[in-house]
Amino acid sequence: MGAPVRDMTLAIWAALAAALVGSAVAGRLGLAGLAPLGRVLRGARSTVLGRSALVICWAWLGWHAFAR
Amino acid sequence: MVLGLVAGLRSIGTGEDRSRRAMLNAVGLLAAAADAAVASTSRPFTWPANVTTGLGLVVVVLAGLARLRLPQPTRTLATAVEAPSVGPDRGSHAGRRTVVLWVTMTLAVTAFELVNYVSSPRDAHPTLSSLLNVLTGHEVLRGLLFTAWLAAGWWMWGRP
Repeated sequence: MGAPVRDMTLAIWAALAAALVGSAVAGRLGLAGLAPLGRVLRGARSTVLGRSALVICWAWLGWHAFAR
Repeated sequence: MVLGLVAGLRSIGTGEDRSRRAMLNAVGLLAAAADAAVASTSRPFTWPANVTTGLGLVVVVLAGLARLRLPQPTRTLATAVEAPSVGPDRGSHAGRRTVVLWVTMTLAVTAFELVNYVSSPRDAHPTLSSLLNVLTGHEVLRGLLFTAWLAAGWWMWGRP
């Protein structure tokens, strides 16, 4: 049972990664009226709420990846 | 050292001392390189990993706060995303759409991560960190990723 569950989990992770990359590329190319990811991040950085969210995500990601 | 770095960064905010700025930049880069070098040899769930990651995190946040010169938040996130050449009315929908998309995807990733985190066994429900083990298990890659993480953290504290 473990293997099918793992395969399904990995497939969902792959789909999420593809969605993230696809959105970044679409934004870069200006497709579907999307703004580039860099502009989104700079826009988030220009507000207190956005910057706070970025810092929290960055801190969590670093701790999770390198320390746990 | 951390307090000195933060104090120096505060004085840099006045833009008066270029040599001090260069020295602090060098100290910051050396400290980041040293931290990354130690982090590259540490293993997760150990004290060295906790210390190197925690130290980098605290220093970047403290130095970033000192560097911070936030303007008054007169803009919303959606309008801030817009290109300057785009009219405020024409562009606000695209900016809002982009923000909604990325917030939605971030929430989706977070939700799926949490679902896997509380599920077991880990082998059947890999989390992001267990997937990243492929990269972080190698010393050089781990050091490079750690450096990139520090650089990303520092970028977040730049001026808008």
